[in-house]
Parts: sequence; structure tokens; C-alpha cells
Amino acid sequence: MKVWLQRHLQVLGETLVWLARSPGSTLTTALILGVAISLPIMLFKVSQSMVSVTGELNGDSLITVFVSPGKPGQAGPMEEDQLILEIGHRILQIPLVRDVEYVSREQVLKDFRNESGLGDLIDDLDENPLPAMLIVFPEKSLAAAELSQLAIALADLDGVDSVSYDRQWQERLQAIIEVFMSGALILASLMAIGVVLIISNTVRLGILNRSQEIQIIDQIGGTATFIRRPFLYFGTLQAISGAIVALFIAMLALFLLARPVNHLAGLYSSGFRINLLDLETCGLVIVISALLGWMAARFTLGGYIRKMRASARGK
Amino acid sequence: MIEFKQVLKRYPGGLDALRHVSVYIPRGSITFLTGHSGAGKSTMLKLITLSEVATRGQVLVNDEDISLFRGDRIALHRRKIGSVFQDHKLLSDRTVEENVALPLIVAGMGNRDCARRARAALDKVGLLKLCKRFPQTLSAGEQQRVGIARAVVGRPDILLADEPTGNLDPELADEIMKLFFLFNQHDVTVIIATHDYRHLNNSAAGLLALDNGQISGDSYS
Repeated sequence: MKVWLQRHLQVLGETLVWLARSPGSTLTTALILGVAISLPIMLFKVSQSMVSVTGELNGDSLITVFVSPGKPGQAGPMEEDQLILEIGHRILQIPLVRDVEYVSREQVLKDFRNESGLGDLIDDLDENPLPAMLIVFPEKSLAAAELSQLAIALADLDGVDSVSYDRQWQERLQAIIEVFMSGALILASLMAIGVVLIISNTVRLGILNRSQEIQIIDQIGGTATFIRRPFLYFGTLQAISGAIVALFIAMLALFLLARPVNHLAGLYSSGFRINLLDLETCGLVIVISALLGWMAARFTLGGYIRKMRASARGK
Repeated sequence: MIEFKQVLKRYPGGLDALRHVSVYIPRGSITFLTGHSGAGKSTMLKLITLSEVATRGQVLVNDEDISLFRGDRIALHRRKIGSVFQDHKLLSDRTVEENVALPLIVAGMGNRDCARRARAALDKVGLLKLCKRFPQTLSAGEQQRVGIARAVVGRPDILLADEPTGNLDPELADEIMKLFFLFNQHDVTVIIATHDYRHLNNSAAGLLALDNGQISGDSYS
């Protein structure tokens, strides 16, 4: 175990020296990888920020329930209020509902008068044509689809005439987020392939530079694992350096973007905020990149060793 | 100990480097493998190290058919063999000591033991004082001795040398040959492929002569 660790640390040290010996090419590879990896990171973060906005919208989403206990004015005011309160109680039993608020016909008329500016016209009316209503506050964590289902359930209740909520806007936003998320996923997959190809190519150049060493080690009894080891470190370290550059690029870009975007969102009274990179995301990016680097080196070396041995065996 | 049974080695393109070669090389012997260029000497050595595989026939080492070895088994087989090459095959970015220690590192030995045994091997070939130098700063003879130290550091059962004195002047060549005889005294089976006829009349050594891929002389039969 001690020798194994000693050997790994030695190879790690030698690989760092190897990378440091050609700083130009190491830095160029890290920058190319950095740019490639930073794009999906940024797209993911923007999509994530939009998801938080839908949360905010869902939190503020209200469903207005219009009640038809009979033709307006047919039932007595006491009777009508009681019926509406009973519907309100039934709505409160629904698990997705946080609260229900009753707005009387008088209050609706008053609000309408204040907001519409048609006060004189309304004063001329013989009777109040507006219905009483219930304002339903759903749970804050509801997704757009769940909100839509809740609205359908409310519309199906006895005594409910109709329901209304800002569903279309929510659905559109959800669709935009899905497009962003899918785009980020496709971009991330393409970039992952790109990362593997870039590192594979770098490793291939490394193999060419060290082909004599590989052949000597093979001749004196080096196993494939032993031959691969420095190249696996090489690929992994290259990928990690690329990931670190990518995180810097993404952080800088998101930081520069955050101020104007937040200002714009503020003008629309939206709580939309660009999320900066958190520690978890940074760790994930480094781990995934390291794995891609390791994989690229593993496959490239595997192919080379197979080919080298097959050619020695006259195949 | 090493046995070739009706070995045919055909290279891609149809060239037969060895044609139905059958020989037996006893354990602990020292053998000169001789013949003109292209006679098949290097091919015989490569078949023993499994750098090449026989097209037909069998190569047995310690009664095992080595052509059946695959993957890491080949690596383990090679660790029992020390190889000395005409062009030394030393790594220029490593010191003499690191070059010599390489087979021990490959075999998974700890750093301290590697250094101790590499120095002991360099001492045997008279190069201990040059252990921190880089190979390119050494003469051809010194480089060859480093190559020999690397070949013997792992205490192999078999020592193979392919034209080890090819680039050396006669005095240096004699010195190198003395080293091979010295290792042979420690029960190492030594096979030397050489053009150097000055050494072939050594009565202590066996002789295998190759001509056009076939055995033309065998002192063991």
C-alpha cells in the first residue's frame, strides 16, 4: 500500500513537471477546454435562475374562483354568503391550497370602481352585476402543471361558475425554461465530446513524445496499467485545469451579466436574479471534467497499447 | 530451459526470418548466437521476450509455451528476462541511476530498495560514480554498461544481448563480454547475438549458428 501510494505520488509529481515543461501548450489546452466547458455552465446557470423566477411566480399565483350559487341577487345576501363560505371551506380541504379569501360583491364593485375609473357609470346601475368571488392561494412550491390541475379541480366543484389565473404566461415561461435546459444539456453533451477529443489529441501527442519510453517500459515488463498511469494523470490534470479556467470564465461572465439583468428585472418588478456559481456547481464541474479527462486518456492509451502489442505480434 | 520446437517466424510480406528452428538451450549456460545480418538472430531473441510471436511451432521457457501468454502474463514473463540492446535504449531525461532502477519500479519495488539495488548493479559494472549523470553525457561503452546494469538489476533468470558490442572498440567489447561471463557465473542463462567472431572460440560458451533462418551449427546437439 505504501509503495502503491509512493508510486502514485511520484507519477503525479512527474506529470506536473511534464505539464510545467511545456507551459505554452498546457495553457493553450486549458484555455480551449475552459471556453468549451464554460458555455454549458453559463447556460445552466441562466436556466436555473429562470426556474427560481417560476417559483416566485407560482408563489404569487392566485386563482380567482367565481361562484354561482344562483342568479345574482336571487338568493338573499345571507344565504348567498353562506353558500360561498361553504364552497370556500371545501376548497380549503384540497391539499394543494394554502389559503382562501372571500371577496364580497360589494367589495368587488368597490375595487372595480377604483381601478376602472368608471365610477359615475357604475353609480347609475340599479343593482350590482358583479359576482362575489373566492381568491385561492395555492401552495408556493407548485409547478405550472400542478397549478393547472388545481384550477381544473376548482372549476369542477359544485357551485363554481368559472376560475381564472395567469396560466398562459406561466406555461410559456415553463416552455422557455425547458428550451434553455434542453439547449444546455445538448451543448453540455457536445462539449463533453469536444473535451474528450481535445484531451485525447493532447494525450496522443504525449504518446508520440514518449513513445520510446513506452516501448522500453513495455520491454522490461511494464503492465498496461503501469504504462497508462502517467497519461491518465496527464489527461485528468489537463481536464481539471480546463475546468478551473471554465469556472473563472463563467464566474466573470455571470458577474458582468448579473448587474444589467438584475436592473432590467427590477424595472419589471420581477425578482429575477442571475445566480452566481456556488461551491456545489464548481465541485461538480471539476469532477465531471476530471472523469472526462481520465476517460479520454484511458481510451487513447488503451488503443495505442493494443496497437503496439498487436504490431509486435505481427497482426 | 529455453527450447524452440519447429519454430517458423514469418513477417508480414512473407519473409521467413526463422524456418523450422529446433534448439535447446540449457539453464545456466552462456550461448553465442551468430550468423550474418538477417540470419534470424534478433528474431530468436524477440521470440524469447515475446516481442514477436512464432507463426508456427513452440517456444518453451521453463517448460511453458510462452506463445500462450496474454496481457499482464507477458509483462511478468519479461520481468524474468534482462535485455541488452545494441543502441542501449536509455531514457535521456532520467539519470543513470533512474534508468537502472526502472525495471524495479515497474516490478513495484519501493524507492529505497530500488535505489539500493540500482547502485549495487551500477557498482558491478563499475559506474557507481556516474549514477547521477544523464546517459547522453556518457561514452558509448559507459552507456552500454548502464544498459547491462539495467538488464541485471532485477536478477533475471535469462539475460539476452543483441549485438551488445556492435558499436564498441575491441577493448571495450572485451570488457563488456567479461561482464556477461561474470553474470553467467551467478546461474543466469545468457544468450548473446553477435557478429564479433573474436569471442566465439571461448570454450566456456555454447554456439548456435544461424544461416538464412535455419540452424547451421549447434554446439548443444
